[in-house]
Amino acid sequence: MRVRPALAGLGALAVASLAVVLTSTPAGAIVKGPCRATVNGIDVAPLPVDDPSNAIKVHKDDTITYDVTSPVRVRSRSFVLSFAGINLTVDSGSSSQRGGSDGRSGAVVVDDYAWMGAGLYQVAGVAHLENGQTCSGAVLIDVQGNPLGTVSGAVGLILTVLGGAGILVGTIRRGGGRLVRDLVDLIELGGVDLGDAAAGTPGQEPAATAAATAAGGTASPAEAPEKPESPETSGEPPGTKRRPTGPVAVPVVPTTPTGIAPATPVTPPTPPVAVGAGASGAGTSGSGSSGDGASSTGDEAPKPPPLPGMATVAAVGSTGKALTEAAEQLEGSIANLPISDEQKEKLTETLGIDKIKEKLGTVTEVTDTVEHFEAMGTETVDTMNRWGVNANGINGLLWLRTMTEASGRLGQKFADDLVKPVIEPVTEAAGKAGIEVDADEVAHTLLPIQETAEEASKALLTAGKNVLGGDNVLNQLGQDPVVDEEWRAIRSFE
Amino acid sequence: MVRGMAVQGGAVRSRPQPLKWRPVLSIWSLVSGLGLGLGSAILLQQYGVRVLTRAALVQMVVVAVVLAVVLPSAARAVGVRRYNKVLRKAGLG
Repeated sequence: MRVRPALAGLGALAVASLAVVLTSTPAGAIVKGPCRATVNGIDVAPLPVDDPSNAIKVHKDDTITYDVTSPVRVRSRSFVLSFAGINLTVDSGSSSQRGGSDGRSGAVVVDDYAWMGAGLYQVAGVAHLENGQTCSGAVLIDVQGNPLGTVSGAVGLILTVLGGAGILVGTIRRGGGRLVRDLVDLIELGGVDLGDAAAGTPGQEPAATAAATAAGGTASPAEAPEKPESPETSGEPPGTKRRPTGPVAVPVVPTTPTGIAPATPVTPPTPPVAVGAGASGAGTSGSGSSGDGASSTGDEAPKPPPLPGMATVAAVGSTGKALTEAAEQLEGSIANLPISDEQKEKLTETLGIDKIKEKLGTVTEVTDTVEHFEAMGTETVDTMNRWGVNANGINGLLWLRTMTEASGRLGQKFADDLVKPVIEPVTEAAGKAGIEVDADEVAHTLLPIQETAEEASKALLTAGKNVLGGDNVLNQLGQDPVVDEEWRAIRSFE
Repeated sequence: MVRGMAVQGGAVRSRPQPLKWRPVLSIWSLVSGLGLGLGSAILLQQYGVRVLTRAALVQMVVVAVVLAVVLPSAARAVGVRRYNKVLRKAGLG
């Protein structure tokens, strides 16, 4: 299959799919037939049923009043609440009376029906009239509230994050293309002596390795004789679904006729392709120096440079903190002004200092989060590179750590939302008694979900080092890369 | 290991061959796409952006699954292209 036409086809499919979503138009309006309906006193007839901006806004604790009238008597009626294709009957019934007009009004407690928490709900109704006519209609109800404070919101967020991360990891792991190169800058093809590759000598390994790395796969000379593949039958880049041990890019190790590499000198492994790290020192040390490759513990080596864009993030973060301090100073200055408390409050409110601080707090929180995850990713990739773990292993570990910590942060927010309403009355009472207690701190102390997740994440890294570090022993012995049999023998102490 | 190339103890058994691209279809991607579609649909409903009808749900899931196929395939195409480019530069492709 040629790349461009097929890729263009896939791209067109993606664009078409997005267009379907983006161009979905509202379904127009709405009450059909001779009936009239109001919700909370609002006539629903002109309201488009799929336009959220025209939804009737209510709170979860509200009670909605409705009134439906028809010029002739209603024989049967049915009102349903629709959610994802599921219909929940709100009201239904029939009448055997005859003659005259008809009407029905009442009140509904939102909380009884908004079982998915906040968000948009569609309520639809159908009434069959005595004269054979039919009235039908629908209205959107927007239940206000914090989406992330509901179970469905939290589930939605988790699914979105996991799904997005899965696609991203799949893109990088299976694709292994430009994304990795541009973000991580680990692949340095310029350092590979391609001239040797065509000479039919052991020097062919670098070209093969570089090509394998370029395609995002792994290269392991030891396994090729066991798994020859036909290029015509497989589109897999090299090294996909290979054994999980050993570095991605195999270094040039002078070999003896028996196939056993000499113990010295040991060439450090070229770092594998992975996400989240800056250019590793090993990536530029391909000349065979003893460096920080297999023989290093990985803890003392210099840290790689941060990812592109991190300087901007740090600058935004420090600016946000400086502005927050400035706002606090301004607040302090207002407090010292020789004016009444009421005037001080009005001045503070007019200047919007609280809102400014709140927004700046959000900015610094986001930049702190980005810096935290960048540092975590860099630590993971850099450490694993030094320990000779392959790209799939690194990406898997990075994904696990990211998900663990992200879930911890999300869980902490969710738990705080649940716990704080319970704690706040206690902290307020304590405040009145002269004891200053912060509800946030108490909630964090009672349920330290974020800290637990961070510790679990660190444990994952430690586990990765402990379990996979065995490769280094063999690298130091000059048997690089190891084969599965050797690996199993080492593990089972045979 | 590069396809078509078998190296052990310095012996070269065959030459590396250019790769052929084809779309990446994996259970992992499809499940991720499904999760992304469902999650996005729920979040859009929760934030009051879109009504969660059955059609909207299906649309979101389909789009996310398509993305889950297109993105890895595109990245794979880039990788394969670079791989073949390296082989050509080395006079092997």
